[in-house]
Amino acid sequence: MKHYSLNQASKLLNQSVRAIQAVSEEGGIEIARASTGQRARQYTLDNIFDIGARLRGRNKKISANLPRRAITCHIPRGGSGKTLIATNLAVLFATMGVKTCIVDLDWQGSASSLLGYDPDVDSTIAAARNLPADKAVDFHIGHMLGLQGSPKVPFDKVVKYPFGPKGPALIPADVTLNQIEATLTVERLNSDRADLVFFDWMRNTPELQQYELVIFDSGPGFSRTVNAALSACDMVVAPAGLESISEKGLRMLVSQIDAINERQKSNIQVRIVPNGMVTTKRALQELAAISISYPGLVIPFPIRRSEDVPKAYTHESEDRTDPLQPFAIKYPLSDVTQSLINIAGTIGNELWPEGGFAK
Amino acid sequence: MSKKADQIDAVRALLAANYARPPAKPIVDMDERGRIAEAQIARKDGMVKIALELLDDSPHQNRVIYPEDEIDTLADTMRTGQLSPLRVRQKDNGCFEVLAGHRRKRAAKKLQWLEVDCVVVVCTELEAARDVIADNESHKGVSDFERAKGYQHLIDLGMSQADVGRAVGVDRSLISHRLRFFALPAPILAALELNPACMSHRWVPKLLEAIASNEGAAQVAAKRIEDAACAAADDSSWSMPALLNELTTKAVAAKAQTVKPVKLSITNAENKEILTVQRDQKRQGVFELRIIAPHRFSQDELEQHLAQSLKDAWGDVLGD
Repeated sequence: MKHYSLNQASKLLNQSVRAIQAVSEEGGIEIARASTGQRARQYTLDNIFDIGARLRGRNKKISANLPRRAITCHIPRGGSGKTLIATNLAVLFATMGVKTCIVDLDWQGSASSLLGYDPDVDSTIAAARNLPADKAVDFHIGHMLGLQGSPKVPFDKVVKYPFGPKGPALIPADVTLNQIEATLTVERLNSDRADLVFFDWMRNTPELQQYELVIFDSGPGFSRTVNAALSACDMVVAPAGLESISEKGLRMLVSQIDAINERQKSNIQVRIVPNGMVTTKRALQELAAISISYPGLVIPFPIRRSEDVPKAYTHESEDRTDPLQPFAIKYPLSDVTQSLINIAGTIGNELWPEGGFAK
Repeated sequence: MSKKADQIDAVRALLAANYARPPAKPIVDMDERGRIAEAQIARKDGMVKIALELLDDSPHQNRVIYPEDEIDTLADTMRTGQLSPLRVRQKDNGCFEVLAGHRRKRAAKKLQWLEVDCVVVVCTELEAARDVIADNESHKGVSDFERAKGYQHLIDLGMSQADVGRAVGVDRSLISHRLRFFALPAPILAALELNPACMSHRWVPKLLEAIASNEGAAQVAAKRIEDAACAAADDSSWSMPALLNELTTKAVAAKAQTVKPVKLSITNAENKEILTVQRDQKRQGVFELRIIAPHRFSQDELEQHLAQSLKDAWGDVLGD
């Protein structure tokens, strides 16, 4: 179990050291101490999410009743940082005390693996190969939809809590999620309902009502699954990989959202997060260009290109037994984490303008 | 500070400036979106039967005349059953506004049906107006003037001419040609309301030209158009060339003989209205006077009130 120093916890929670100490004393949260040296406090992730929830109640900056909102991380081009943004937003909103559920919609299961699960292993394989059963993925969102008359798997059997019940919840994905694409394509021919499967799932799943934020981590490209994810959300967060911005993809996404808004009388927003910023002249010019092309849409906290980002996606140990972790959790002191915290604050402020999020 | 740092700062400032825009429309709440989606899907999924008495004409309806024989023919075809449903939307008072199917509604009434098949849609005021007017565009029996009224209505609601063209599927130049009806003076427009089918939009420029030089001509034209509406449908005496001919040849005479108002209100010594007299021309030189009075007058009183006023106002038109 990874431990965090007080300084790291303070960075991750975006709160002063004093506020954290005060709330953990008030709440009687037991913080472990190192067995050697100065016996420094060792905060677990569970402690951090607990403190985050208590801080929200204590500071009363973030309103106690946030209406439920959904965001979808999507851009047609792969490798732009969808999963990076989605997993870190899930973690960071949870540290702010916002009840968050992240839904992995990529059949490659990248968000699921980044949150510590193994999408290639189900409980049968785990038993046969003597792998930890709690990291196996048996069900995905498709199992809860009851498509084509198949029995619905209950929410409790599907949901995972990668960082304990106080952290974000996860609806994982695995390769079999790809099958819902064919089903949705057939259903789309008969009814508009196919585009609303995730929207309806969000509205009609009682266990989901307690969550204030649902984050869909969509796969790349355009498909019926992606369309359903876009139709379900209130805001699309589109990471723009600055090494080669997919301007065509962005344009396509923006016009697709316009079409959905027109059809559904909704007001889904698009926000662009520049990712992988380097300070070459060309990269700066590109960044300036998208900011001019999409006024009001580019979140002004570009994520710097960091060698640590790919590290968060790869196992350190050779036998791949160490769990992967979202960037912010792995590197709480990095300036990239600070950018992600600023992005989360900005998005929170846009989703809930009166919600009391830091501007 | 290095040049590079300057560049980075400049881009950061640009990002902040471009992001800081007034907030867009607020996010639509999930429940509200769900309600809209349900209604939209219900619309696609099937029809509902709605009682005829709950169906109101749309206030956006640009059509003024529903020829009786046209409705009869439609009713005949509907006798075996309703082929296509009416398109309606729910109003706040629980009734429904017809967006498409005003003629079918009338035919159903004629057939003494109690209810008709409808699809219920959810739409905004502008979309409702667009639906009504676009639906009329496809009907043959709608006159140019009625179409022009529809376009003008959409423009009044905030659409551009190009938008109107796209919405109703008509070339933009035809839209602007038809809209020239509204350059005609008010009396003619009022007469067209009664007899919208009497002229195509192609006559508008010629009519404008004919009445441009004298004021009386507009009144004469309005009168002729109104009279043609009262005449029987098979009356072939009406034609635009004839009217234009009359206006141009009689222009001088018309100018000399200023046309008198068709309504006269007679007041007492305290300047209070006691009588209204309406003058209807039955044919050339023969008039019918309709006297509208709030209470009964004796013959003597009437004569006393009327004699002088009529002579003053219409003496030259009426003769003795």
